[in-house]
Amino acid sequence: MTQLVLVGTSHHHAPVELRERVAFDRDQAHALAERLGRAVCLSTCNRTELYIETDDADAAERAAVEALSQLEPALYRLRDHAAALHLFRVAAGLDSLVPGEGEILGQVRTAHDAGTAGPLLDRVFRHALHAGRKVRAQTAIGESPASVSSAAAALAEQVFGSLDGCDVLLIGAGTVSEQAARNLRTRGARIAFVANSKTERAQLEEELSRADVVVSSTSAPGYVLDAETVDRVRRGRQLLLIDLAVPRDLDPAIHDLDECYLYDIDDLQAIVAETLAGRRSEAERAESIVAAEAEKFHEWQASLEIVPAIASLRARAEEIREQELAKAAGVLGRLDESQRRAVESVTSQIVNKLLHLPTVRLKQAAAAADGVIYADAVRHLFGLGEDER
Amino acid sequence: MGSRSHYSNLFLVLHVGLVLAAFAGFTLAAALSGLYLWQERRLKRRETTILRRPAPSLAVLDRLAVRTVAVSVPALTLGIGVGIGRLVSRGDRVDALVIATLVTWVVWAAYLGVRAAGWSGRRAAYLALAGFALVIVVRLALPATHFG
Repeated sequence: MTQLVLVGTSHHHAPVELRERVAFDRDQAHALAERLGRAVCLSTCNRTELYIETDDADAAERAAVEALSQLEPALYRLRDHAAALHLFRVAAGLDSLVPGEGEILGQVRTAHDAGTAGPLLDRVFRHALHAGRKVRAQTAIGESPASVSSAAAALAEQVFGSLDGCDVLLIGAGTVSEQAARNLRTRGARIAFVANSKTERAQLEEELSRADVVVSSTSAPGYVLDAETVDRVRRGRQLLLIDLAVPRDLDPAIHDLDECYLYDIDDLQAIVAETLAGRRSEAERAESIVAAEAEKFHEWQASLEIVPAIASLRARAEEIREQELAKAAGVLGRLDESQRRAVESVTSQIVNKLLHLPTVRLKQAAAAADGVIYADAVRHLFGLGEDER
Repeated sequence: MGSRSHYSNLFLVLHVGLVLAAFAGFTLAAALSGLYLWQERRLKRRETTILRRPAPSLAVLDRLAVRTVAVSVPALTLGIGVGIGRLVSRGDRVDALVIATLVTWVVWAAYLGVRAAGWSGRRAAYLALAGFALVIVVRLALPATHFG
C-alpha cells in the first residue's frame, strides 16, 4: 500500500544556525526529489521538509534522513494522516512564524511544481493548497497586517478606501519607510515625491499640499513638519501622516488638526500587537477548517481502498454465477429462449440483492474514513485476490 | 368632479411617495454619517483595534452619504412642490408641518451646498445628523397635524 512519509524540520525545532545549513533552491529541490523517487522538497527560510510517496516507508524515511543528515537532531518524522495534516497546516500558514502569513501558500505551490509527485502526493499537495486558500477566504487570519509597514498601508485604506490615485510623500528613506512605501504602492498608491535633507522648504510644502499620505523617517533631531505648517498648507483636506522616526519627525500637535491623522511608531506597534492577538483567535477557526479538510483527504484515501474492493467483490459474484450456470448447461439446454432468459434474470437479481447492502455499507465506511479496515475484511471474508496468489 | 378627485389622488400619491423616498434616503445618509463619525473617532483616538476590526473607509462612507443626499434632495423638492401645488389648489392653509418640512429641505440642500464648497466630511456628517433630527420631527408630527 502506498504511504506518505514526511521528514523535515522548521523554525519550531531548529534555530536559524541549524536551518541555514540545509537550504534548497528550486533546481536543487527538484534534483533531490528526483533522487528520492516520487517526492516533493519544501524548502523555505523557516522550514526544510521532504514529502515522499512510497511503498516502502522505512526505506524512504532512511533516505530522507540521510539527505537531511545535517539537521538530524532537529528532524521530525511523520507518516500518512499525520504527514498530510502537517502539510495542510503549513499551507494554511498555521505553522508559520507569523501565523496566517500568505507567502507560504505560494511556496508550497512552487515546491509542488518542482517536485516529482506521484498520484498520492499530487493529491495531498493539491488538497493542501485548497485548504490553504479556504482558510484565507473564510477567516480573517491573513487580513490583519503583521508588520508596522503593512499596518501603515492598511491604515491608509481605513481613511481613503481604495488607494488608487492616492499620492504618497516620503520624507527621508529608511528600511521601514521603504517597506511602507512598497506596501502602499502594491495597494495602488503613487509615490509622488521622495524628499531628503536637500529638498527645499518651498518644494516640500508644495508636495505636502498635494499628498494624501505622508511617511516620514529622517534622522533629523527636531520636527521636520510642525502643526502650523501643515494647517496652513492643507486647509482642511484629509491627510494621514506616518512618523517612523525616532526622535519623531512630525509635530504631535498635527494630530489635533481637523482631518489630520498622525500615527507614530509606537501607535503602529500597538496596532500590530492587537492584530496579532486577533490572528491567534482566527487561528483557532483556521485549525478546525484544516482539520476538516485533512479528514476529507483521509476519506478520499480510504475510498481508494474501497472502490477496488467493491469492484472485485462484484466481479467475484458474477464469476460464480456464470460458473454455476455453465455447470447446469446440460439441464438448462432443454429450456426454451424465454425460460433461459428468466433463469439469467433471476440469478442476476439474487446476486444483486445479496450485494446491494454490503456495497452501500462499504461506501458509507469509506466516507467515515475506516474504509481501509472494511476493505481488508471484505477481501478476507470473500477470499478476493487469493486466486492470484 | 370625478376626474378632479382622480388627479387629486394622483398628486397625493406622488407627494407622499416622493417625500417618503427622500426621507428614506436621508435616513440612509444619516446612518452613513453616523458610521463616518464613529470611524473618524476611532482614527483620532488611534484605537488599536482599528485594523483588527476594519470598517468601511472614511472616503467610502463620505462618498455614499453625499450621493444618497444628492438623489434625495431633488426627490424632496419635487415632493414639496407637488404638495404645495395641491395645497394651493384646494385652498388649504400652510400648517406647521409644511414649515418644518421646508426647514428640513433647507438643511439638506445646505448639506449639498457646503459639500460643494469643500466642507470636511466630519462637519458635514454633523449637519447630516441635524437634518435627520428634523426628518424625525416631521415624521412624528405628521399624524397630528397633517390629516385634518
